[in-house]
Amino acid sequence: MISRRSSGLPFLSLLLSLSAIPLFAGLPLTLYRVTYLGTIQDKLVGLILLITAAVILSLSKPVLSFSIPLSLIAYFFPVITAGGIAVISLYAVDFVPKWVRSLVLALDSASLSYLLLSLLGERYDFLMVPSAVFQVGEAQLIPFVLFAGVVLGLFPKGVGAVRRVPWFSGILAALAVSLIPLIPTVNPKGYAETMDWRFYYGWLESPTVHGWFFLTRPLYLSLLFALSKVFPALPLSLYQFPFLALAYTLSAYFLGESWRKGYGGLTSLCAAISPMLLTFLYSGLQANLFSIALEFSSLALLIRRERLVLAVILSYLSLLSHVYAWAQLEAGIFVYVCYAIITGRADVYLRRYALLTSPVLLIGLSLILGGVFPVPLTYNSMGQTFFQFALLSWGSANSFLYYALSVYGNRYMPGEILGIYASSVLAMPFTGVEQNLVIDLPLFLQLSASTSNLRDDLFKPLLLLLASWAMIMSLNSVPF
Amino acid sequence: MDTLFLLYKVIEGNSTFFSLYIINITSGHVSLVNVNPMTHVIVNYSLFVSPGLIFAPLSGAPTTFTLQGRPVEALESVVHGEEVLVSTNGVVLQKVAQGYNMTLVRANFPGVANDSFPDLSRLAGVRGGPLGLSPWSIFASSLLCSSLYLILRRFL
Repeated sequence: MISRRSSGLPFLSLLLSLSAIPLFAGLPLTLYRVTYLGTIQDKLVGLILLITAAVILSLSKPVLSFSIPLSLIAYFFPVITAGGIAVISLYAVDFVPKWVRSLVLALDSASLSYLLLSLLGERYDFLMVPSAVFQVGEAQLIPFVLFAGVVLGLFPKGVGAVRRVPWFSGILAALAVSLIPLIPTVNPKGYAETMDWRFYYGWLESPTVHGWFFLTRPLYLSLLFALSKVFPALPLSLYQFPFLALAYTLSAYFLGESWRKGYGGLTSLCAAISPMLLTFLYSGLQANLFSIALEFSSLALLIRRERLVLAVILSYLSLLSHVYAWAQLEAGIFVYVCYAIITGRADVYLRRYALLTSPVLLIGLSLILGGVFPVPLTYNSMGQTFFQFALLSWGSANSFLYYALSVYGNRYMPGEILGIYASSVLAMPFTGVEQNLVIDLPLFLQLSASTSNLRDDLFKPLLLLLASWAMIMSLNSVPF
Repeated sequence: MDTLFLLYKVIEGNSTFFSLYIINITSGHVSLVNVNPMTHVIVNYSLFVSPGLIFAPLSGAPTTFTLQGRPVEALESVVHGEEVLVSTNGVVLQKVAQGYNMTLVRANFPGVANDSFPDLSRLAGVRGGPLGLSPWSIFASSLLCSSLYLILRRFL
């Protein structure tokens, strides 16, 4: 009987139903800082793929034959049905077949050839499509994946394996992502178009301590002001990003090392190729990036229960660098501390940390919710969520594989990280800037945990796929 | 009946692109295709286009507009600092403002012109299809892809 033998067929139908989604809804491709919607839309081919997926699914597990009539509903609700079939096939997957490695390697080679040819000045945009199908094609599924991560976090699975990569790989990747847009052949302008630098430049031209811009990020602006006495203001505001990217990667290194010894290389690599860093590359948000780098260093000390005073000081420096990012991460830690106190697991260190930071957190949250530092509070529909991931900030936060792989890592996470993750993801439907909540999360920890527990033959190809995608997005951050 | 369309050449600052409005008379749906000869990209937007973009009220002084070497009767007026040329059945022929110029270059519309549908790939400056597929590019990239694949399979 076919059903008794375990086969790779459910995985094939998972891939087919996932590739049907961009065919139904169109693939949002970002080329030269322009996001083109609906590039490879073909509803008929999508429907054929989806029905094939359902047929394969019911061949491998006859119990799931109801998916064939279900797949026909795609005529009315294409994306939702394709997502449903994908979930059913995920349920049926019992192992990942061997040919997946070849598939991922093929995607790798296509993206690497795209990168190589683009750096040489010859652009064949269709080479980007194969990996784009699984990276940006599934923007509609990303919120569901993130919510599924909260549920997965409820089922911890021990500490898992540790996989080591060279300690400098993260730094190299961060340098590549931040410096590719500065290569003269790629970008004749000579500077990366990281949006917000104009605001920082404008502030350096006429510094003022009044107003929302200064009050939400006094420390970062003071730091820039001090540096502007040494370096000219224009290059200083233009070239903030590479240094901030390095700071972010280093804080990811410390966070990984403090969580488990030897993890630093992998976490810093995962941070450097993350959609979070790419969003910072596309939209600026320099103070925010600086602030989360400081807060991650504070979190690193908190996880190891070391140097309480330094942890609290770093946390306060992060507050002064960017109020919003700090409030989000600190509120997540606070959620965990409350949980630990209620269940009686809180140690002295945690209680003291809470005592030292919670008053300021409460003041900060009341200032934010009270409207002194306004935050757009709404209720987001599915359409707005799609817009937030596929279009906002040129679709740079749109990286399905990264999120899908990292939510599995939630089962290996310590409580502090889970608190941050759950509180941010559960706040997503009610905040006007969902994307900004996701990019502050330390998802690189989750990703390194889940990739560490992957099969040997998939670990490197998948990391290479994510890395090459980051380079492609970095290359396309240059305006034409 | 052939597809009804209006193809405009738009010059905005120092960038030039083509906007193709395809009009479906039976459904009343207008879809927009943007063709960018600088980035060689054709984008098909399936959306509701505001009629004000391609139709305008009849007003102004009579004049003539030249479309593909043929004269078209037109009315010229200035609305909000924007010079608008409208055909006698309300189709916008030209809009000129500071740093902005939108001119009809090809059309199949009753009372305006009866041109054949444009070759979008040629307008976009790509040799093959929308994503730049040509025999040469497919050959070169598949060669590169397969050699990279073999290298990766050996060393990863």
